[in-house]
Amino acid sequence: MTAPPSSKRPVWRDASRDPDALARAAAEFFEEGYEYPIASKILADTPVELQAEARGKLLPRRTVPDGCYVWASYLIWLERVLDVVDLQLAAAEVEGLMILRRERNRFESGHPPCPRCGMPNALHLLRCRECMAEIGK
Amino acid sequence: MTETEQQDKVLLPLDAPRSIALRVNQKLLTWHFRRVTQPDWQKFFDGIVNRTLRHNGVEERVFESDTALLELVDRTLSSVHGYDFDATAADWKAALPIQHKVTVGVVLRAVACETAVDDLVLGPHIDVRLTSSWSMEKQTGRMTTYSGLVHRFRHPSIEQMREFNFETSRTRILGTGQDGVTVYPNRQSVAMRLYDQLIDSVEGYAAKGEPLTGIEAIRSEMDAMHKATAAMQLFSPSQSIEIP
Repeated sequence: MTAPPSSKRPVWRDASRDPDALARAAAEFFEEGYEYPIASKILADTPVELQAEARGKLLPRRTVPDGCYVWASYLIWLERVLDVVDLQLAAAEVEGLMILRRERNRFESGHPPCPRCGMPNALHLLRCRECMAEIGK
Repeated sequence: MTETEQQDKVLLPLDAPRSIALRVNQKLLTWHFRRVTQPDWQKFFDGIVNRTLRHNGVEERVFESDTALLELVDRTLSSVHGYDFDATAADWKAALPIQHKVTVGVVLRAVACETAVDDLVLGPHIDVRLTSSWSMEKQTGRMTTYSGLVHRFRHPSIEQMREFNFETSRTRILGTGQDGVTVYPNRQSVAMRLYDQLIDSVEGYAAKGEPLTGIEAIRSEMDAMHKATAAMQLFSPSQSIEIP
């Protein structure tokens, strides 16, 4: 008697056709971009052998495979290009750009810009992380 | 470079058989290859394993090209000299030491980009310069290295830049971020395709005993490893840019 085929066979996906994973990658990308300036200052003073561990603690943990961040990076590049030229887009690109815009809007509503220097700040902050101006008043 | 100057320079003979020498325990071993064609290189590029694995949040990068390189060597090797075995036997390739095959394979694919000051000269073309080990000198057994191999491209259009970025960003994924795998596409395939679209002229190469000229001749005669290396440099230049 042979064993029944496993119902848990791994399923490969094209990263450009996984909207849920792209949404998470985009959201985490924006969070990383927000945390990176402070993290990089700390990492600059961290011994090389401890930097990988420190990076893991300072930056948000990634929760989708790397390919989703690669696709998100491409879409960010494409979005900038589309500001200056018209290109005919594939369906996956259009869908990806819409997801990217939605996640950027979500990030920006949770990180309004400092009225003085324009840098994004988390909602709970009372002073700008960049220029230390009072915010939220 | 004028035509006369190009004729004076020693040109890399693209259609000549390649020979590579190894010295092992003072013994000279020579490996002779038939021409490595674009389909040979395409199989090599397709066989490269380039992926990231993440298990419990710990990432590991896997890049493995030795297997594809061994296959390339086996496919294109026509004879060896200096070994004490019957090189006419059916399985003589299987008897060759794997370490020798890998070493020879690394030489077979040895091509690198040069950086030159006049890369910064702006004009209607973009020059990419390569250096390559190609074949040994018959008398000395030393490898001949060709430098200043110029690939002169027309400027890529935004559509061509988009094609390169799009094709190289399409990955296959499995699992989650904590326990997931990403398989990266090979960049060489799209690079070779765009090379054929953008190349205008080359310097330093010969085919059929003549300097290589003419776009159609370049497309058909140029070594695919050189095509891929030059075009990837065009689209993702490895320049050091600093703010002084």
